[in-house]
Amino acid sequence: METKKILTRDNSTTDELYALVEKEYKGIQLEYNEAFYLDYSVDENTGLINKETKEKYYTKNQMERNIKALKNAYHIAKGAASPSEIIDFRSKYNISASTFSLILGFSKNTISNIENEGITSLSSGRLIKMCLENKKVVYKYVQLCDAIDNLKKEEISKRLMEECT
Amino acid sequence: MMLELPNTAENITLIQDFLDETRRRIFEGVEITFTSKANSELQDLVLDFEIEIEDIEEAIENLTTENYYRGIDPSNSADFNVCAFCTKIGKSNVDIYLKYGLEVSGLQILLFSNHLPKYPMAQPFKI
Repeated sequence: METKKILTRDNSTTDELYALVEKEYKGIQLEYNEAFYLDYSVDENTGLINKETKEKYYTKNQMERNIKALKNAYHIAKGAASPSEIIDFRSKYNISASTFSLILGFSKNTISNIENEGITSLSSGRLIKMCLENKKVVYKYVQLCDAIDNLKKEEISKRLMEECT
Repeated sequence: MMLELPNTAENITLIQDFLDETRRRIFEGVEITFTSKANSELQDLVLDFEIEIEDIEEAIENLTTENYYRGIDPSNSADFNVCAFCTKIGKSNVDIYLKYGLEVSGLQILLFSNHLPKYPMAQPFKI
């Protein structure tokens, strides 16, 4: 993957860097990867640039991604399904993201959005987690889903039930 | 320590110019850069009060001289003009301390601090 480039204060390009963040919040240990870049440090009281040392800075875009990752880590720590858990479940039972989304009663792109961008709602994330942990619930939702055809229902149900028996 | 400018017409104009320059840069498309400290503080605001980056931007854009708390070295000898304000922010309308700098020979808007005030903040230009 090509490294992202960031423009520093003196208009030279620098690489976007990544680091694992470990943060404790209200007794919960959160872990996620953050994006940042390095530039000369600035004294916040004097406003003077120190060209001897560099420190971490964050563009708006990096902040947006980091906050999304933070929220995702927080929701997972509070019991939501992680994107990788959803992907693993779908892969195991060969269900596409859009179909799984419809089975659970979301709009077509919801699961795909969650898998790519993380959990944005704790309540949805927890409900998905409960479904992933109880295939009989998913099986029931497959039977109740009007948005997929009967052949597909049968195929998915068979795969789910094979595991249950 | 940042100095507190006394409430004079000249100083109010100085802070107004700072705010006008901030808005001009944002209007021209300059985005706020966060220091490591501001990043860490915003994480707590996100989790505690559902504050978003847009809330910080909006708060900065809507600052007035009455929100002034400390700063700007009138000697203009630094690389950044740094100024601190106190304002309300987000859906929960919490008080927040904002400290940011405008790069003098460039366009960067650098956010140093965004956190709940640790003590009551006197705002010398408040009417």
